[in-house]
Parts: sequence; structure tokens; C-alpha cells
Amino acid sequence: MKHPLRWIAIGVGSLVAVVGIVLSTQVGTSPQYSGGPIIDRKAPEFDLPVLDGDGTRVDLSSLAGKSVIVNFWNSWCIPCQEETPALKAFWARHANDPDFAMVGIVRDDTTGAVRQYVQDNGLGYTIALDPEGTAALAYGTTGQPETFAISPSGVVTGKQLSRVSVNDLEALLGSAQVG
Amino acid sequence: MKLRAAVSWIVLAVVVVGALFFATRDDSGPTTVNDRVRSIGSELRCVDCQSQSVASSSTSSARAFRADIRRRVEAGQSDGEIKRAFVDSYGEFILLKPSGSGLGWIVWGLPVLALVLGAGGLVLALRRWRREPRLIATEADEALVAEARSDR
Repeated sequence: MKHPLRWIAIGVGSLVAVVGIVLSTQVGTSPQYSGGPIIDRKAPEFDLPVLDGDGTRVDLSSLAGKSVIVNFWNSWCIPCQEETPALKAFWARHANDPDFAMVGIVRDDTTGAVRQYVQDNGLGYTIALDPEGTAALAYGTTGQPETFAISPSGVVTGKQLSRVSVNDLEALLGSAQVG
Repeated sequence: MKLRAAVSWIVLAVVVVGALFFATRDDSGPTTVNDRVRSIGSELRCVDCQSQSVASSSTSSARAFRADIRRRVEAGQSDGEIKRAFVDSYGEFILLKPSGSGLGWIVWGLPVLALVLGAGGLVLALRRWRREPRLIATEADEALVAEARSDR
């Protein structure tokens, strides 16, 4: 430490250079969202009205002990329409499994449009309405489709922020069953 | 002399801290529910648009955010509780202004660190300059200068 001033000057200079380089790499970019910190955490509760359920509601706590797939979607989103056959095929495979449940949560859509879509596509799993977006916000969604896997103990074990295939759904279910 | 210098430094510190305190104090906090929704929304990132806040966007997500903020305000939650709830769901990404925790400290901390290091360096330099006597020309120096002049 013969020349402390020189070391301080080098330290400050290096600091400024590092900050400058970091900031320059950020120019013109906007932060990318890769999903909230929901994995391995307790799944947010939801309690939502079921489509044409005559007042019936679906709440996550009533599905405790089951592996649950939650799919956020709506009728006008093209990727949601594209993943519908996969969701139907996946549901057909597992509908009779007593330890499994699947809930489609509708965000940002009208009841009439959803009803028509469900009828047209013969969706057999539970469709819940989230008109105020509370469940969508609690799960940290940024749009649709987004799909989450929840273990029998109520922990989120997987998520996909884009269109799912049957294989994706099987992998999500597998993570829920293991978790 | 030392006492006078110490008093000067203390007065300077009081002035700087006081100026920072009054400059950063916000007396005009939002008072109505609408004001609070707008204020909190302006600090949260719209998740499905580019570089806009929840308060300034018209997307369905932003509308859902604002409705949720309003519900929470009306339920009596504080601004901090509301923002924490969104950070719980979305992570620090949701905050337009990085928080002071986690990696956010880098943004706030580095300039302060650089300032402290720079000030420290300046203090050391001043001390050294004060300690070291002024250079006095030696006889050899004088001779060199005289020789250079005589060469002209």
C-alpha cells in the first residue's frame, strides 16, 4: 500500500467502468419477464365461479390431495385456441383419475363468448371465471395461455408461459405428482 | 485551529444531511383512493406492454392491476403492503424503481460507494499535500537553471 491514492483511483475508475459497461448493455432493451417466483411456493388460493355452475364455485383448497393443472386462457387468444386440442386430449387421458383435477381459468373475456367456445369445443374439465383477474394476478400471469402444475400438497411445481402440447402437460403433471 | 476545522466539518455535514432530508421528503402524498391507485400504479410495471407503468397503460392486465390496487386500498392495506403483494406474485421485475434489497442495492449503492471512495481519496490527498513540505530548489537545481539561462 505504498500509494493508497493510486489504488483508490483505480478502484473508483474500475467501478465506474463496470457500471458503464453494465448500463451500456441495457440500452434499448427492456426487462424480460420469465414468470414470478411462484415455483416451489404454496399455490395462491382461488375461489371462483364455475361457468354455468348455478352458483357453484371452485376453490383450490377443495382440490387438496390431488395433482392439479391450472390453465389460464380465454376464447379470443389464438395460442389458447391452438392449444385446445392438446388440453382436450390430455383431459381425456386423465379424466377418470381420482387424484387429478384440471381447471381452466378464464381471464379477460365475456361469459357468452366463453360459453360458446366451451360448447363448440366440447371442453369437459372445470371452467372457472376470473372476471376481476384476482387469480391471474395472484399467479403472476402476464397474459394467456399460462399453465401451472400444483402438487397434492398445494405447492406449485411447474409452469409454462406459452401454448402447451400434450407432452408439456404430461411433464407438468409429472412434476406435480413428484412434488 | 483544530476545533475550528472540526466545527466547519460538522456544519457542512449538517447542511448536506438537512438538504438531502428536505429534498427527498414528500409532503404531498396522495390523499384520495384514486390518487393512491394512481400513485401505486405509477411504480408498478405494466406486464404486457413496453416500458409503461400500470397507471399509464390501458391493457387488460393494467386494468386488472388497477382494480386490484383499488380493492386493496379500500381494504385498508398500506402502499408498502400492496407493492409487496405484487412483488410476491411477480418478483422484483414488477417494480419500476428497484428496491433497496436484493440486487436492487447495486443501483442505489454503487454511486454512493463511488462517492464515498472518491471523497476518501480526496481527503487522503489533501492530508498528504498538507504534510509534505513544499519542494525547495537545491543548489544543483539552481545551477541547472542558471546554466539553462546562460545558454540562451
